[in-house]
Amino acid sequence: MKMSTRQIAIAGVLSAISIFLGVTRLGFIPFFAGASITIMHIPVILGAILEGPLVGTIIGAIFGIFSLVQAAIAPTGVVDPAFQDPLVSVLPRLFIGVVTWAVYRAVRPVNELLALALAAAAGTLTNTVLVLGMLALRQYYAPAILWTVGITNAPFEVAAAIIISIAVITAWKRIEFGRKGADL
Amino acid sequence: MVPFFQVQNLSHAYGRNTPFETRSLSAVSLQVEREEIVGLIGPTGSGKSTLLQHLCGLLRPQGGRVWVAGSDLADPEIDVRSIRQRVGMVFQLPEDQLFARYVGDDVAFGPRNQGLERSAIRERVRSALDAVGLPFAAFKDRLTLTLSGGERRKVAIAGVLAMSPEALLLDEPTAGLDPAGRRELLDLLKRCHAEQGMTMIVSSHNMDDLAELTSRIYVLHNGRIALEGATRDIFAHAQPLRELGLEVPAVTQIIDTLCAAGIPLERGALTLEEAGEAILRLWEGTV
Amino acid sequence: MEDFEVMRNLTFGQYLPVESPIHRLDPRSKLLSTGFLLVALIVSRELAALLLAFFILLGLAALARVPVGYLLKPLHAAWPFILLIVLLQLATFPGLPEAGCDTLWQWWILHITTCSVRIAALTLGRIIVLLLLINLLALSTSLNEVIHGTEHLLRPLGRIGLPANELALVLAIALRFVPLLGRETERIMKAQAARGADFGRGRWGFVQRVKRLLPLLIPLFITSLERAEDLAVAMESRCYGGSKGRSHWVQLQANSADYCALFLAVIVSAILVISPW
Repeated sequence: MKMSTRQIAIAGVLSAISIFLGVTRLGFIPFFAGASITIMHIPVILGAILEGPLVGTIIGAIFGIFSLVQAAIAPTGVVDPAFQDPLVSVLPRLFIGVVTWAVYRAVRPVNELLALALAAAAGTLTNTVLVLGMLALRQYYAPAILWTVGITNAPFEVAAAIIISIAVITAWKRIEFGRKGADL
Repeated sequence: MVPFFQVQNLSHAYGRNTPFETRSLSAVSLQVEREEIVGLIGPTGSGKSTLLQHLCGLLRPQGGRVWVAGSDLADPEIDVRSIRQRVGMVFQLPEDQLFARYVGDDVAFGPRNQGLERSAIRERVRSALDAVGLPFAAFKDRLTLTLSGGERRKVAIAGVLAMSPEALLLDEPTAGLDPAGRRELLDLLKRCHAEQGMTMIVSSHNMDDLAELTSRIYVLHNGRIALEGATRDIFAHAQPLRELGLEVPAVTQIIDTLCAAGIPLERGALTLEEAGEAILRLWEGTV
Repeated sequence: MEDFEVMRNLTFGQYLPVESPIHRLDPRSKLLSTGFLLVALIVSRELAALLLAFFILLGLAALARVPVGYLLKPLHAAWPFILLIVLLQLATFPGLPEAGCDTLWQWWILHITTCSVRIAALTLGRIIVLLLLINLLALSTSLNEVIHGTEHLLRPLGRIGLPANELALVLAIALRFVPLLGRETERIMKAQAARGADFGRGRWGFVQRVKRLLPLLIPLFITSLERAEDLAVAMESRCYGGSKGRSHWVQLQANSADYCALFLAVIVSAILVISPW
């Protein structure tokens, strides 16, 4: 597996953003009653779309490892004690890159924008489903509780991921859509 | 006349109540009258940016008082957003803040946040883009990321001008610009000052810029005001500045060197034109 | 007024620079030991073994001259969450009577059985030992050491075709970049706030709130990606051409203390894994 210098640099930088969003409160968007959705997985999605599944997986691994370390050193969330378990925090994140890239590549010939949206959604759902799944499998929380959390959380996380991913990627790749010009 | 900016005994520390607390400002006092252009110089870490951020309402005074156009920033009742609209701040490397896909939309960000009407927004964007030298019609629909670095900086500055501020704070405005870009920016600032009577504070390491623009200078060192006075007076004495790790304008250095070599030139020239005149007078005196 | 001090929270990894035998250990042995113990802890099912590990870690912490308060600080923050998990496990993971689980208490849909007590106790033990382990590693190993240690450890993987050196490089770049991001974000936040942005504080609908974060997030991602491209060019102009044949600046030397530590880790891990039998 060869990695170009560009891929190394982009993987490093996007991993840094993921770590950064996790360490500061910027990675958490409150949505109601004190609960928040997270956006730390979005750099993984972006890395996969821009540079392929290997880069996505690497960023995912670093994201996972740091969520593990954060959970032990500076726990702030309810699931943090469980995130010290690498099967919950690291393993699921290794799949985000591959799934995102696969969906993007499959849908891209149809429509670029749709591909971006579906890829972002797929990546986010991979994260949510696999993490919640591992929490259930490892018996940290009862499946019923996780289901409820998943159903309430997922639509918002997917929406946020789609909005942000499309905004960043269309800007970066100079893709224009909709109105072609300023709204003035 | 109430000064536009008045600062009394301002102090500030970053990371208060953490083990990493660092004092950035101590007992700073200054004032800037309306329509003045004042310079702020000091080595890196001397607190210049922190001071500027207080003056546009981004930081609340921790100790001491700050008044902007008569409003006391320590007053919890004041509308901080109105201060930010009246005092525009151009940060270092402002082109990093561009986020909108199209130039016009980015410049319109400020006016939109001000809640203006569509036609008013359009007018603000038009005059701002024209002022910075990027004609409205040609540039409003350009993709922001396809612009060159210099053009992006102009867009960023236009974004601040579009809010129609009464005062402008600039942090290292010409950093990273080529000589042509620098000249355009300095001329733009002089135009804003002349045509709209904008009050300005320029923080810079570039002494030549300050020599050209400012009438007064404050020198910051370790979060305190070390020197203050008219630009001409401050730059007339290179030694105190050098002790603080600062320099004087290139032109002044040349004249000082010539004088030290025994040539009886008048000192005090700040710009190329003034130096030229001083040399001419000497020449005519000896002919 | 908003708090723009992003850098305030940016001291992740709580390395405590103290002189101690543990601090002096080669980072590779520390990383490997932690790795073994981590894996062992995940599969551990014997409370007595967890207790043993707990006391050994406390002993190591004493050896590392780490004040107990420091080590247990995260516990101070995490205990409500730990309590929540454990209590929920107690009440909602009853286990089946056929599997030999006697019900101890029951109310509505909540049951406490011998099995759920066992699960809860095991989880509690596992969480606390994991917390001790990871914090001990973080307190005794600087970020630099972690990077070099990881790079060295991954090297053999490079021989079987995995992009090991590249991975280590990615990690190094990431860690160096995080403080830069902090300063950059603070500047961008202030610049946008100066233009009247409010980053979605308060009364907006969710989608609106996300959109209001874009003036912060887009510049963050775009300037970072642009920097990455510059970095790649800079690396290549210094003849970076992949990991083959690259020499290393930092040479790590393992000594007997390291092998002892590793041995101890393997023993404890074995106990954790095998003890249920």
